[in-house]
Amino acid sequence: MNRRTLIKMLGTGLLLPGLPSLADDAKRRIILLELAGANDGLNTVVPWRNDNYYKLRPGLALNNRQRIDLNDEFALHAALKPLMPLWEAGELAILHGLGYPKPNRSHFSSIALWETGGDGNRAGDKGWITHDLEHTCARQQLDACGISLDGRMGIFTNADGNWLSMRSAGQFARSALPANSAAATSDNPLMQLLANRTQALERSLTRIANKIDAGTSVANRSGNKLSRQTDLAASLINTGVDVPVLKLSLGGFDTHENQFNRHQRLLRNLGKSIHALRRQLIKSGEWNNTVLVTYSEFGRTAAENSNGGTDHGSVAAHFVMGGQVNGGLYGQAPAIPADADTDMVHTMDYRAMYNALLKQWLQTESSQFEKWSDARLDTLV
Amino acid sequence: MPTTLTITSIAVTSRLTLTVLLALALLFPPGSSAEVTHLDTRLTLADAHHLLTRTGLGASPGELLRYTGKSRRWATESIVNGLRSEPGNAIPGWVHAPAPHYWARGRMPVQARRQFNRERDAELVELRQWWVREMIETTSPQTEKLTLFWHNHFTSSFADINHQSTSIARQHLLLRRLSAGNFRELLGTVLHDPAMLDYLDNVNNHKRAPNENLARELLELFTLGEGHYSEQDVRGAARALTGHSVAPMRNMSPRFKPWRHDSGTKTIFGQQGNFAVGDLVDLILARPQVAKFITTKFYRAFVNEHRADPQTIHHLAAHFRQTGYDIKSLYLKLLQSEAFWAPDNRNAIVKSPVDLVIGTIRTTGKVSSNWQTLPSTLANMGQNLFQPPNVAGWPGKDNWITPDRLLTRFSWLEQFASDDCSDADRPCTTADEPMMTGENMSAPHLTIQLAAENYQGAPGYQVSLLKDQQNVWQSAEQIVSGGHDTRTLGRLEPGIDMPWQQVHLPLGSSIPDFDQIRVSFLNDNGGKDGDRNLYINWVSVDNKRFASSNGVQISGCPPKQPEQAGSLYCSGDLLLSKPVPADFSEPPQSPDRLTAEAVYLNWLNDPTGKKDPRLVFTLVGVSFNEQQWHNLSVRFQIQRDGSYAMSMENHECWPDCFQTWPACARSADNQPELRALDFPLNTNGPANCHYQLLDEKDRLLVDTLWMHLPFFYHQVAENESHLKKHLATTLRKWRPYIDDLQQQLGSSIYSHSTTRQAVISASHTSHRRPALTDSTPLPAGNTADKYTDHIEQLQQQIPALSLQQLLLPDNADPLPGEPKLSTLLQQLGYQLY
Repeated sequence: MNRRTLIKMLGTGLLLPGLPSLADDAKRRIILLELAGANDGLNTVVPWRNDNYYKLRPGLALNNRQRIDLNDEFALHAALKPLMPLWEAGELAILHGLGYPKPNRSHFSSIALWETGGDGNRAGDKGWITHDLEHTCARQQLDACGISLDGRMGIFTNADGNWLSMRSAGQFARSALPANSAAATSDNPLMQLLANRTQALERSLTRIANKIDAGTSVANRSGNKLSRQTDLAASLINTGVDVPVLKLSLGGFDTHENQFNRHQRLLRNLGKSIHALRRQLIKSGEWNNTVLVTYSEFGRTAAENSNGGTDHGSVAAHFVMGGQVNGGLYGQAPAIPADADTDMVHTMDYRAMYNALLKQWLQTESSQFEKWSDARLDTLV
Repeated sequence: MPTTLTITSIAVTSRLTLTVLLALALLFPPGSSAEVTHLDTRLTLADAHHLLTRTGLGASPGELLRYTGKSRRWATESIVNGLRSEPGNAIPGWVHAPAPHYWARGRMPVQARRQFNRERDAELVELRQWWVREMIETTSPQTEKLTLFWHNHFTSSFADINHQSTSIARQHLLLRRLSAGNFRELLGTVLHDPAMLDYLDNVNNHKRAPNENLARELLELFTLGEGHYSEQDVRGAARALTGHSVAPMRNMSPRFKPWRHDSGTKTIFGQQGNFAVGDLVDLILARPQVAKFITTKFYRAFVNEHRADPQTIHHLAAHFRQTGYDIKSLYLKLLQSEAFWAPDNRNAIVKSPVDLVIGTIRTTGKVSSNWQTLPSTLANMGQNLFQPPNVAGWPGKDNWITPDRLLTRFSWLEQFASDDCSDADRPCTTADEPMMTGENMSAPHLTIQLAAENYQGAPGYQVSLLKDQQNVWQSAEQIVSGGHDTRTLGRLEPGIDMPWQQVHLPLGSSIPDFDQIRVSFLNDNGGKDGDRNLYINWVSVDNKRFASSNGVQISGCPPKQPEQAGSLYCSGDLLLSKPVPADFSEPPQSPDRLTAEAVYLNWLNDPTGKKDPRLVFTLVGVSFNEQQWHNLSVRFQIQRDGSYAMSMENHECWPDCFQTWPACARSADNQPELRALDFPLNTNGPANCHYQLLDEKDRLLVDTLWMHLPFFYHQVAENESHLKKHLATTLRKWRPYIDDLQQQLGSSIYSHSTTRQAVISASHTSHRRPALTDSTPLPAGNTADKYTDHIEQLQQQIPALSLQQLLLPDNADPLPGEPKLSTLLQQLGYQLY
């Protein structure tokens, strides 16, 4: 039980400012890991006692050799075995039933909602994490506010400040910006965007390059797409690059067909990469300053389809992990319907998770997701 | 090459930029008459540049010369009338050749399957290089731009259709052919396109369990847009699309499977009926939203991508509907809209990698000898041709200029500008020996297809020809140019094409007698932040191709699997022997024999089971009696009474099984196109009409196939080790029946002409088509001399023409001094157009 849990239990209900924390507040960071294509929640966190699960998934339901039981209700897909040390160390939180009202079934629209904190009634217009972090970030003179390592910038939509993307550490260490790149403000939004991005690069490039050159190890292995990103993330963190947000992704989760093998491969890849990242961060003492969060645009249907796959659903469980995370199961798993035509309904708004991460972990002064705050997550981190 | 010299010289001659503005004003006074519409306005150089870059790829001096000073009306009509439906350079031959046996992959031994897949990947290398060449050389860049537009609308991805090179290439030709046609026809054709049907899972769309993937994207991304259809419409559309599939055994053609089609009543947009795919297209196109949706997409792609103009779009959409969805007409109207020419809509689109890279090459007339690696350059910037990231295509806009991509773009432009082909001391090619080009390709030479990852320099290599292990020829040490810099870009991502290129090395006056080729990687290097590697795909000499996968690698880190030879991560040698013909060759004719390259087990079920026991063999590369088949299938079945029969169906042969099908051939109510013939092993009564009414030649074929059925079985059974376990088990159950069959065949009516032999030989599995020409493409179709001519003529029109006006005429402020090419290319404004 960590200190914060204790405070909770004492009933103070509020975080006392100035209370020493195990994590180094200045260096707290969050790693966002998008499972692109929509991960199948039910075969990730398996409700193995649920009859409807077996009824709706005659071909896809995992048997006792294909899962690892966490308790007498839920199990992890066996391919996630590398995450078991985290579970046993109490560093893996599972948040059940995340979703939002009026689910959107389009990959593109729904991921944009998750990225900007919107829902089926209202789209967001700004990266969810950037809004409450911009000021702090600007004040603290960090190397960058956030870096996307998968090349996608959607999570930093319309953000002000040094929000970057990076392909390899060497790219930053060895690239030069054109001499004349600092542009004045323009009323052409594209020129303005170019200017902003070049300026952000200009502010960060040398600082990061210097650290990378001074650093000991800059991973540049040829691995799979996720392990390249986790290696790069570990390198950046361990060479002392100050950046509170890193964004990674693993694609291929849109398993409409032949899900069994594909999903297993994806989860194995996921487990291994996270395990390796954790090991590298524990070694450098940074794991306690890190929280890693998974998310997807939506979940998948409870029922399997005729092609051995699952279709777009509305709800899924996700992981929050880190040295300071209080592991365990949070919230309530959504009811699995008895028939194939009924959708599962979310039991926790995903923005409750965002709120907890902003307020409790990054300790931002404000959180735009306050109104979704959910007491069930008070002890998350 | 004098090309760059010319560019430099224009920069020198442009003294005062102010005079240019003056000169332009004098040359093209604004229209004075009140009735004159904006379409009579004459194009300034900047206008011409705007029109050309938006509709084409960059703006070459020749194109600028053609358009500057002309009226907007003439110019826009000229662009639209210049749209073509066929490419200028012939597409690689394999695209039209019979499709590889994709369906047989699962039945191939591991090594053969890997080799098969490598060949498909090699085809895509060729296809990408072909398209890049076409985009560089074409005199109709508007065709390329519009084709690329549709490629990004009706997306399909090579990687996601299981590397079916043929289908993705044929889809490209379809989009090209109909790019400026009628949207109704385009849409209808796309819905029958094998690549699309596979990409969006319609090949699995069965009435029993409709797959909604194609239906959903059809409504969301292809025609209406989100919010303009309901889930019920998606379900109805999916049911209307059931049964539309692909015939892998008929040259990957579209195939309608009526028994999978749902002919029940569907509800789509509130209307009820037994809708089929044609009705679906009609129902969709009856909705005004389609015109608005497509017009908006055009507007964003050609006018302004961040701010739509509802008024203009409304007018254009109405016009689009009135013309019955005529794309060319919409396009012309769009280019003739005032919005297209408005100053606010200049610099309003982010250049795609194709615009940036190919546009820069065409504009400057400069192309590097390692142009073949350009597909990989485009992929590094996020535009891997034939492989958009998902069904929504490349998102473009700000996504092209994410910070890391901006760095990649800047660094390519810098490299391009500094790659000074005009400097005799630093030629664009870095090889020690002169590169061979199209002009002297008839001299004896060796071609090597290779790719490189660089680390503190590029891989060096040397090629030797050996006879009895003695050197009979050796190249000088070569350095690969155009490799992928791992220190800045990271290692090559899996799934992203390597920067393959073909390098030609002259062999002197004659080809020495040799039996082995050795490629040596000389200078391995690597560190924590990168690695230097050399990849060899093949070497060809004298029309023979030596594939690395047949080679042996002796290096510091040999590959785990022998067929992965050719990836040299450490210094060492690759030894190649065992060539295949490099040119397309017809399989040899064997008039008196049935020959086939291979026989595959196509399908089977349990012979002891209740359900029509059947064993289907497919022969590939078949020749018999001067006839040839790409594939030909025979079904062996046990009938209810325990007797045997062989049958053949038209959808399993390509070309058709028989020269003529007897009128009494079997069909089926739910398959009107089916033709099937049954040949029972009937030893007593007369043969049935299926056999009686066949042509003599066809009857001979039936005899031979029947008599060799046991032989086919034994062929397949011998190689059962690479079959899946359950298949092998079931196959073994057939053995007693085959033995029994063998006994009965001799006395059957099919044995009359059985002197014929059947031979299965894997000797020609690899039919190579002639390699594409590798000569350096001519930007915008112009030689360096012609390019210089154009510049000079343009200078006569605009005496103070500057380099900035050629590249960035819409930039408000002239840059101080005489900016160099590199300075101009590095302007932020150069990222836009």
